[in-house]
Amino acid sequence: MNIRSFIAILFVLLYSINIEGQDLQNLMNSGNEFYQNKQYEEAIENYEAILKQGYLSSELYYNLGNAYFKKGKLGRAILFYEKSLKIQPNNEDAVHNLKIANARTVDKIQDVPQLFFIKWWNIILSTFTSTSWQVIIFIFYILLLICVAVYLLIRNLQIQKYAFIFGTLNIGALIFSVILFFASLERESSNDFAILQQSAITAKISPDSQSDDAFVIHEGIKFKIEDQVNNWVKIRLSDGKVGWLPNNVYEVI
Amino acid sequence: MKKILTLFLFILLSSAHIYGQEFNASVDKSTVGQNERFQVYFTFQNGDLNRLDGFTPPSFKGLKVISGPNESRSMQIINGQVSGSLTYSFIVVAPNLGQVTVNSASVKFNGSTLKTKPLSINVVKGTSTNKQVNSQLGISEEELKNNVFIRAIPNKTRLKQGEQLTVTYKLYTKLNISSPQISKLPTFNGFWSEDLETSQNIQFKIEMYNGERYRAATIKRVALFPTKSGKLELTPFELRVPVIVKTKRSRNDIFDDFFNDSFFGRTETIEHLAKSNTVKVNVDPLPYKNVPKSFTGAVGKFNFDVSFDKTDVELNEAITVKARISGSGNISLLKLPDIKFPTGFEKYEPKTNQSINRKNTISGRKDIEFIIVPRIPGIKKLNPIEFSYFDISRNKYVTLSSEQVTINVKEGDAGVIQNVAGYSKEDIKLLNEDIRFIKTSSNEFIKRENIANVSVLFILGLIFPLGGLIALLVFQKRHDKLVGNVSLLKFQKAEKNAKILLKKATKSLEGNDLASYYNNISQALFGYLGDKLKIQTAEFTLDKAINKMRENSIDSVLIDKVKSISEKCEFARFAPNAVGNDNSGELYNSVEAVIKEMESSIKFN
Repeated sequence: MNIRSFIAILFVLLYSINIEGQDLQNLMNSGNEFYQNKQYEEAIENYEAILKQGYLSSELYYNLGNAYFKKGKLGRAILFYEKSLKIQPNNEDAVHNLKIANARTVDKIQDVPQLFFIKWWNIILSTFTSTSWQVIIFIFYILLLICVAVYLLIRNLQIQKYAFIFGTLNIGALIFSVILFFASLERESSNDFAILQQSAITAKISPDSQSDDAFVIHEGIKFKIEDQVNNWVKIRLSDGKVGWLPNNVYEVI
Repeated sequence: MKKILTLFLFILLSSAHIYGQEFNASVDKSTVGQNERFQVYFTFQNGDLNRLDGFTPPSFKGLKVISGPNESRSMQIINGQVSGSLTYSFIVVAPNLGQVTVNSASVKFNGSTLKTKPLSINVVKGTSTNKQVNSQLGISEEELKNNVFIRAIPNKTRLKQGEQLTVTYKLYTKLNISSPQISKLPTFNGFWSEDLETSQNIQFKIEMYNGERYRAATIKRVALFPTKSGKLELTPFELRVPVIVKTKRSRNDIFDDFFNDSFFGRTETIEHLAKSNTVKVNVDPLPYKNVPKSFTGAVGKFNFDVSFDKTDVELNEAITVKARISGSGNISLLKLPDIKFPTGFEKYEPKTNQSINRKNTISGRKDIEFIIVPRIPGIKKLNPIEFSYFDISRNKYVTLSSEQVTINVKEGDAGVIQNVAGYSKEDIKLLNEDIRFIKTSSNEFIKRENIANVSVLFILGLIFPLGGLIALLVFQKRHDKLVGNVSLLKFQKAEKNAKILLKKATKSLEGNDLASYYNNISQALFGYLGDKLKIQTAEFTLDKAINKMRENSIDSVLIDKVKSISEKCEFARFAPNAVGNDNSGELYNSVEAVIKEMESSIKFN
């Protein structure tokens, strides 16, 4: 009896997990179907339902971005492309569609040109997610351990020499990937960047609706959030302009 | 006959041209030498020559008429109206020095009498030709200068800053010339200049200047707008004029008049540099008082007009704003008013366009076209746009202002963005492109909490291999130590060896081999003691072992126990049958126990 009830509970548990997975899969599939039939509203509903359950994926964000784009909601489309890229920086389709969406935004902001090594750094950083970096660190780590073991245990001068050289190189690679891992972890967990969702808004010079206008920005623009005072946030555009916005007009990536 | 004439006259009168008929007298030179021939002309212009009759020549008192009157006429028929000019010319000689007056001649036209003004001629000593001829060419530089020159004629000499000044350059000549070439154009320092239209071909007309007849042609007309006040000067216009002169063969020839004709005479061309006079004008500054804010230097008379193509728009829908300034004045110089739009409007680079009419006065229009795109919905009021100019005729500043415009910006479809300027080529390419299709494969979902987390697996993956390596190294180290130290190895393996021997003993007992049984037991004990106490097998004696045990400060009770058991073992080894069958396994157990006891109390040193 005892064993039987245990098995029953286990079965139910397994089944429920399975149900959840199955459920998400179904929502995604039906969302995709709606999208294919150009019923974008329903597609969005299905996709959002997955998010509501606390699950996400780069593909889900990407599809959601596409659906919003088709609905003409540029701000949300850009938001979800950015989210998709945050999880999976090498999502080439999302990069492409984000470019198209950005072309339709009103503000044409010239990015402040980056120094070449910062550019390279960002390229390397966006190649892998923090999970991938974990795998890479693990590989280098194991290789390093093997080198150490070989060096200490095998009494052959030639082999020890190779192990030493290879191990030294490995330490360098390991340190580099650890740094990148923390950087990508930092990037993924940060919510400094946001996308404007209102069609147009005037940024103020100070956190006060009576203050002077700083500049006007439009839906879909990406900016960095630098500070928060009451219901106002200080934003910085990619060209370096700084202004204050009320905190209910944007969505954090 | 008389009746017919009256009728004829009546018809003539009814259609008479009462305007414009002129009858003038002129001479080819106003200063002549004594006994020098010169010509006197009486010219009737702008009238039907058919209705002209009764030319009465003047008395020519003090002059001798050599020939005349000679008639020459030219006729024009325009729209059936006949007009023309008739010239009566006389060749005369002044025999006496001093002032001679040519009295007025008269002519009857339509019954009225037209009279010329009297001309006075200066008669000087000697033939003027004598003086002038100093070369083979028969003409002097002085004479050339007097006969071919340029006049710069300003329409005014006092004006306001920004007001139009028209200067006409006219070439006057009495001699035959061929096409002139510009040697130096005048410079207009302190002016904005604008060339006025002149006819392509230089057309000469008979013109009087200082009472003398010249053929004159307008060669250049220019409109000037002073850009500063004060006394300004225009440098002379210089023109290189080829003058055709005849070389006289001899003077006072009877055939002179006849053969001096260009047809017969040998002619030569001289380059003459004709220079205009310098024009000086006074430019007054504009009044300093009551200068409007929007004044940017426009002087003249202007209209100002601003129009919006629509005022009711959706968000992001482009509005075209046209501002037009038209009128006469310094239109090229004027700056267009700066139009400010409230925030929320994006203003694109304006397009300007101007067209200027370069007839007598410079006039025209300047258009400015903005495209503005509202980026924020709501009702926006645009402030009136102002434009000011200085009105020359009224001598005051005038400000024109457009009407206030209200633009209603409706919230439109945000997705629709007008294709306005400001998009790069790449953007436009991207605008036409569609997004890529959704992803339908690989649906692995991550829990939100697991994003940017360091997984436990990863940490375990880091710890376990490290632990493994450390364990491996420790094992290796111990192994190395054992391999390097036989006595230690023996020490550590002592119990193990003893147990092996004890096992052997048990086997021997089963085979009823008592000798082997006791032998194995005692070997197990002595071997154990030897290994533990670092005594070589060959050197092993019980006493030595006991001494060593004492040195190792082992409990004396245990030493005694070991001693008694060892003695028993020795005895049993040498006389196994005497001891008999170790039925109860007493010896075996005691050996095992003593080894166990020893193991815990003896330490390697």
